[in-house]
Parts: sequence; structure tokens; C-alpha cells
Amino acid sequence: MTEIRFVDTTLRDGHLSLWASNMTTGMMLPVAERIDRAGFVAMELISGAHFKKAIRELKDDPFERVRLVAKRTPNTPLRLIAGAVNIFGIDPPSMYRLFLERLAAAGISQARISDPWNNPEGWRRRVEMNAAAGIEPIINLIYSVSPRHTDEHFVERVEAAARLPVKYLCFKDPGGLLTPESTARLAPLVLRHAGKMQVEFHTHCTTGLGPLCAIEAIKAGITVINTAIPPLANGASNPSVYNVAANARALGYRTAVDEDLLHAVTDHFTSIARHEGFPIGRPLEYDVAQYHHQVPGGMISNLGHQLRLVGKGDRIEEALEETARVRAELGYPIMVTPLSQFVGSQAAINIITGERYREVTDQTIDYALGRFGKEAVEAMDPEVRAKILDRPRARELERTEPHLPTLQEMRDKYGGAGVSDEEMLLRWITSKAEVDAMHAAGAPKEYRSARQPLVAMVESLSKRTGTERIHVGKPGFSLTMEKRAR
Amino acid sequence: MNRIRFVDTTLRDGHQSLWALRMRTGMMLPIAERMDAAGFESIELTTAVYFRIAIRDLKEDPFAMIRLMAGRITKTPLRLIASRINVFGYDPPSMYRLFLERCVANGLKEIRISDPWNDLEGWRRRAALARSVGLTPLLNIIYSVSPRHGDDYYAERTRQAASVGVFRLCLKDPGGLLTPERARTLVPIVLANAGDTPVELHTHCTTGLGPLVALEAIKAGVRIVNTGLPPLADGSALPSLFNVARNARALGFEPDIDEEVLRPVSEHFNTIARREGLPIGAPVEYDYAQYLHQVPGGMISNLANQLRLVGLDHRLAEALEETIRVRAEWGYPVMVTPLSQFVGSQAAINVILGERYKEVTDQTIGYALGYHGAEGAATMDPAVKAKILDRPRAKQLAALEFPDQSVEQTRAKLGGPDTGDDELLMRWFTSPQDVAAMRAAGPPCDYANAVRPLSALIDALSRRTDCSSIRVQKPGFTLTLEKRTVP
Repeated sequence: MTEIRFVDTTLRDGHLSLWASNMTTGMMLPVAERIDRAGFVAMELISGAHFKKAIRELKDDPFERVRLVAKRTPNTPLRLIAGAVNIFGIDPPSMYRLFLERLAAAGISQARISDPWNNPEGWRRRVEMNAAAGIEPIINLIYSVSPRHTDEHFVERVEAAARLPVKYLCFKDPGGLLTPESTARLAPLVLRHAGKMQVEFHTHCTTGLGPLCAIEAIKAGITVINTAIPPLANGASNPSVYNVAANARALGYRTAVDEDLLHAVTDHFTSIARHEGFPIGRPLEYDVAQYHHQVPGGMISNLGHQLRLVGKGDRIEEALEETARVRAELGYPIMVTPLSQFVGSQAAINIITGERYREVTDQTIDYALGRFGKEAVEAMDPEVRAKILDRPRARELERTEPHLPTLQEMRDKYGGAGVSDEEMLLRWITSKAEVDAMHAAGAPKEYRSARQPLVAMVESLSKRTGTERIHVGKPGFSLTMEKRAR
Repeated sequence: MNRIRFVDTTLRDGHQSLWALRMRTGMMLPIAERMDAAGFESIELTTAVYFRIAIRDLKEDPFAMIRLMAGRITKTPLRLIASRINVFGYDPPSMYRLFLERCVANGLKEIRISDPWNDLEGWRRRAALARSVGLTPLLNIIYSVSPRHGDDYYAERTRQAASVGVFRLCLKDPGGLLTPERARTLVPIVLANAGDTPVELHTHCTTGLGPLVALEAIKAGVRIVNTGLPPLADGSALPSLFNVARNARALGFEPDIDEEVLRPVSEHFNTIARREGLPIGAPVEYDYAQYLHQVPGGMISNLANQLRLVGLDHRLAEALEETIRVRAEWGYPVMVTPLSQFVGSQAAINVILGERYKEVTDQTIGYALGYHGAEGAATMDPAVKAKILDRPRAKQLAALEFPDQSVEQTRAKLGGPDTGDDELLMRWFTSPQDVAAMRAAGPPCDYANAVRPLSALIDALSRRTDCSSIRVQKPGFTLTLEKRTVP
């Protein structure tokens, strides 16, 4: 009987998809040990994009987050989702290398890597960088829907991935665009051409189909599924571990996860959600329109906001249509960050100015120049490309190759005597002032769920080593704890 | 022909699936005219089970509900879902007929009819009866999953249903067991064999697939879909009208419905749900186990309760397994009321006693005798059938006859010759005491909608004809209304 194993995404994709990355280190610590004991293949913990948010808004040191969680999770590899740190700019390779080294030192042992074009050269570069830092790379094969993204395209890219020195491939569907039918068709193709790579499956519930696609992937032979723990499952997040495990068992599979251990984790995050007013992930209704424009939910609300600012809030439908059109003209990039943002912004500009490509963003120009993937140059509509590049700003950008500073230049700019590499990285990602403010906020405090205050108190008191005996007394209540040898 | 039409189920299946039929007449009245204006093909209004609940629990006259609604819904046909009255017992034909007659007299126009075996004779008999009282019948082809319920079965039963000559058929999936894949294979078969008779789709969202199944059915050629209005859609109810219409439009179809007129109806029921603590239908996660045992959700909780009573609640999974086995031995009846209850109860008894069929219910015996469909008795496992019937009680029941009691005999028993038909039916559904208690509670009143209490007050006051000036005063608030002729 085949055994199905799970990768937990709660601490990374779960709160990225549902809580706008607002989970603090203190919220993770009380449940980290439990998740570690549940038998996951790996736990997603952090991504490049989490860094800014953690430093600036949560006042959490992201490296410290990794260290503190790693200390509590000795059984489960911790995973980085190694996207860009600078979503819209270009990360200097020198700094990205250091970033990976420091994360490895803090406790990260695996990284899921993407190239927004599923481009084998992009994969190779990232695989080598991660391996050099001592991090096990997992290649993401990103699913997308377009005339370019045929079954042959995916087969060809899986074969290219199999030629790289990697052990793991993740069939990843960030937009929740897979349907049970397309999963049933593609998952066997991916498996067949994956060679020796172990294949895992990562989909989202954006159109309500995540749990169904996970089951189809299992039936097709994929044995490692990415899931989240409710309330950080469903909605725009990954399928619930309870749901996928129960359905897998109903189909006759064994499941390698201890769900009983996880119910307390669900209680913990549910009570935080209630307390902090964070959303609780719920199953969504099926939505066909999602497949037409493929604009991620977060981007739709952003697009609506941009249009409202210029008094064109009523034209959101038109902007979504325009997004679909711009995407086609740009050669059907996969709608993942940052490409989806480039497409969406250009579409909004086209609507706002009333003339298509009269104004273009610098990113649109760089895109047309191939700086966000060489495939774009061949795949674009030649007329649109000519129109984008036929302006002074395009010629200016073409002349100025982006400068990629060396590590020494970066040290000169952000470092200095007594500044550690981690500190320098944090300052590069945000600024010295913001990192100082983060340090000033102090170390993370465990977010104690108020459900069992007495149990929590007894537990933490019993861990104190400096005292033999503790007595707590108040009218009508007294508690005495004493250390005795067994 | 890309137009998609809708049948609304909010006022019947919606609250039957989600609110245990606890929607009061006063909750329906304020939105009736809006629903009539939206352009539904038909509106499901009531079912026989509702009558008992209305009289006993809601203390409301169900016939008055039909009359009041029919007074406000004048463009859209109102539909009855009632293939029987007594779920577990025997329906005297005279009373069932009177019930249908009174439903027509009070304002219902259509009846959607099931036979739990999708049996031609059962359909014919019920369709003829409906026509004879002036109701327009539709026939349900009930979907089920079993080795018996394959493509050939549905092709044959659809041809038979179409041969009855009703104006429409309905592919009905009460358990929410249709999947998108099955819809793709089954719907074309049903449509092809229905010939010129149009087919409606009626599916539930019990395993989260309702919205997907509705779209697949539309893609395969179904043009009339049964939906509910949120919060009485999703969950174990039907797909949401707004969802199906939006998705159909995204696929290039033209939904023939005014959604804007209906949004305030959703708001109205949302307000009621929040205030009364009634459930709000929400999409549920896909649940594969549902396909294995096919036990409706309401029955699972009932089964668990029965087991708890005898301290065996830890054996629920076993009882569900036993349900699958009993169903197979009984020739795979469709898991609809009442057959699903018979199967579930017998399975619970088998688990509780630890010996299979040592004790059997009267319904189990009746099933084996063919009282609940000749097909059931004919397709049962012969060894199981013999075991069920090899006991004194079975012989007793086999000898029993079911005389039809005339309406006048029933009237004499329940109140005498002065008792009107509606009153008689209600007493027969419940008891004379229950009906008297219902009457004592007074007529239904509008459910005050707290969204705009002041404008509702002004509106009601301004309609009064017995006074020309009204003044309402409280500290910090004065309202004066005066009638003047418009110049």
C-alpha cells in the first residue's frame, strides 16, 4: 500500500496566502515542536519576500526566526522558498549567495527554487548557488495556462530539470489553476519524465479545486503533497492536511502524518486569528473567470485600488480583460511574481491613459529587453515589442547595463567594522534605521494562546531550573510545585 | 441556444437542507415579489415534510403560507415536491389525493415527482394523479452510484420517463454524488434518451462539487439548472445562483435571470440567519468518503446518535461499512428517503446486536416483501431475503392488507362533517390538538427586517387609511406624518 507524505506550508505559504505574512516568530514558537513531531517530509518556513515584512512591520529578525524554529524542529528539514529578495529589482548574486549561506547557518536545509519562465538555465544557476551554500535544491515546475504552456512544453522542461544535479521536483500551481482533469493528464507526464527525481505536488485552493487536484495527483502516483494546517489552509492557500489525508485514506492509501498532534496547532492559530482579526481559510466556490485573466487575488484588489485612485474604479472588468490581452502580447509569461505584476501594472496604465503602450513602465522596457528572461524576447508580439522599445527611455535603459555590485562594494555600502554579515544583509534588504528599530523592539515573545493559561503557566514554571519550589497563592486558589527526584 | 434558465430552491430545498425547514412564512413574504420579478423558470415552495413542522414547531398554517405566497408570486409557477406524505408509513391514496387537490386550490402549479426506484409504473401512477388534480408534473430521474446504476440503466430509465409524456424531466442528485467526470458522461446519455423533453439539473453541494457539476451539465447541453440563493446555497444545499450564473457567463452562456433584483433577497436571509443563529451555507471541502457509503449527512448524525444511546458511538465507521454491505445485499436501492433510512437503521441494528439480521425492522420486512418497490424485493440477495422473511413477524406482515380509508371516514374520525378539507388534512398530518395550538398562536406576521426599521415604519404608517395625521414622539425624536392631496 502506497504511503502518502506531506510537506507543511503553514508557516510560509499559509500565512503568506491568508494573513498577508503577518505571522510573527512568537506565534510560530509555541507549536513548532508539535509540527516537528507530526511526521512531515519538510516544513516551509520562510521566503525572500518575508524578509522585508518581518523586519519592517513585525520587528522580527528573520534569521533569528530560523534559528529559534530550527532549535525546536530537530526532526524535520526546514525549507526556504528561494524567490527574489527584491521583487521588482535585481538581486546582486554576491549578496544572494551570502543570503543563502547565512540561512543555511541559521538552520535552513532545503530550498524550493523557481524560474518564472521554467527556464533550465535559470534553474541551473539557482541550483548551483544553493548547493554551494549547502542547501538541497528542489526545482519548481510552475504550471500555467496559455497556448504556449502545452503538455509538450511541460514534458520538455521536466526532462531539462532531470538533467540537472537535483533530487527533487515540485509540480507547483501558484494560481490554483489546475483542474482535476488537467492534473489527471499532467501529473503522469511529469512523473514519467522526472527520471530519478522525487516529485511533489503544490497547488492552491483559489478556485476551490485544490483538494480535488491533490487527490488526482495522488491517484496519478505523486506521493508527496504540500498541505497546510487549518485555519491557514483553503481560501487562497494550500489544501488542508486533514482533508487530503482523510481522502487519501478513503481511497486506500496510507498517510504518514499524525493528525491528532496537529489539532492543537489548529486551535492555536484559530485562537490567534480570532484575537488578531486575521482571516480563517475557508473553501471557496469554483470561479471560471480566474482561468481567463489568471490575475492572482491579491493583484486584483491592488488593480482595483490603482484604478480607484484615478477615479476609474468602475473599470476593473476592463482592466482584467486588458491584463489577459497584455499577457498574450508579452508572450504569455507565467503569472507569478514579478512577471504578473509587470503585466498587471502595464494593463492598468493602458486603461488609465486610454491608449495602449503610450506610457510604459521601466519594468516593461526591461522585460522587452530580455532582462527578466530571454524567452520573452522571442515570445513577444514583435509589433508590441517595437512599440515599447521605440522611445528615448528605452534607448537609455538599453545602454545602461544594470550594475551588479561585488560583495566588497556591498560591504562598503552596508557593512563596516563590527557589522555582521546578517546585519549587513538585513540593512541591504531594508535600511539601517529599520533594522535598528527591529532590534529595539526586543526578542520575540511566545504568543501564548489564552485557551489554557493555567496549563501554560504550569508548563513554563516547571521548566525553570533556578528554583526548587514554587508557591502561587491568591484567595481561593493555591498552587505549589516542587522538584523531586524520580 | 445559449440561454440558461433557473429554478429557485431557496424556499424549499434551501431551508430544508440548511435550516431544518425552519423558515417562517413571515420570513418569506417580504421577498416574494422580488423573487417573482427575477425571471425564474419556477420556484420550489414546499414539500409534505414541511406541513408537520409548520403546524407543530412553527405554529403556522402551511396552506395559508401557500395562499399568501401565491398572492405575491403571480408570474412564476410555484412548485410542490411531494411524492409521498408519510415518510415511513403507508399513505392512504384518498388522503394523498386530497392533499394534492388542496395544494392546487391554494396556489401551487407544478409537482416534481420521484419514484425511489426510478420505476416506470410508479411514475405513471403519480403523474396521472397529479394531472387529474390539475398539477403539471415533472419526473425526477434520481442519480445513484452502484454496479446497477450504469449508463445503460440511465439510458433505459430516461427513455421510460420520457414515455410518460411529462413536460420536463429532472436529473436529480440528492446526495451530491455527481462528479464533473460523471456529469460529462451521464448528462449526454440522459439528454439523448429524453428526446424532445427538456431536462433540468438538480444537484447538491454536499461534497463541494455542485458548482462544477452544474457547469459540466450546462456544457453538455442542460439549459435549466436548479439553484439556491445564498445563504441558503452551498453546504449541503444547491449551488448558488450567483455562482452558476457568473461561471456560465464566463463560459459564454447567457443566464436568463436578474441577479440584481435578487441581491437584497440574499441580504434579507443573511440578516435572518445572523439574528436567529441559523446556519449560513458555505462551500465545503471535497469529501471522498461520501462516495463510498452514500449515507446522507443528516443520516450520519442520526446513526451516530443511535450508537451513542447504546454506548457504541466509537463504532460509527463500522456502522457506515455495514451500511455499504446492507445496501449491496438489498440490491443497491437509491439512497433516498425512505430507502436510505431503512438501510441505515438495519445496519445500525446489525452492528449493535453483533449478529447480522438477528433482529429486523418492520420496514426491512416490508422492503423484502416488495411493499417499497417490487424491484427491491426482486434484486435482493436471496439468502438475505430468506433470512429476513423467516420469522413470525414477517408472516404476519405478509398477510396484512392496506385498505384505503375514504376521506369521509377520516373526516368522521378527526372532527366531523363541518371540518374543512385544509383543516382535516392538517389534523391528519398532526392531531386536532396540534392544529388548535397552531391556530391559537395567531396568523403569521412579517419578519421585521431590521435593515431599515425607520423607513419600514414610515412605509407602514403611510399606508393606513383610517387616520389623516400621525405623530410619533420620544425624547430627541419627533415624526409627523400628514395626508395631503397632491396638487
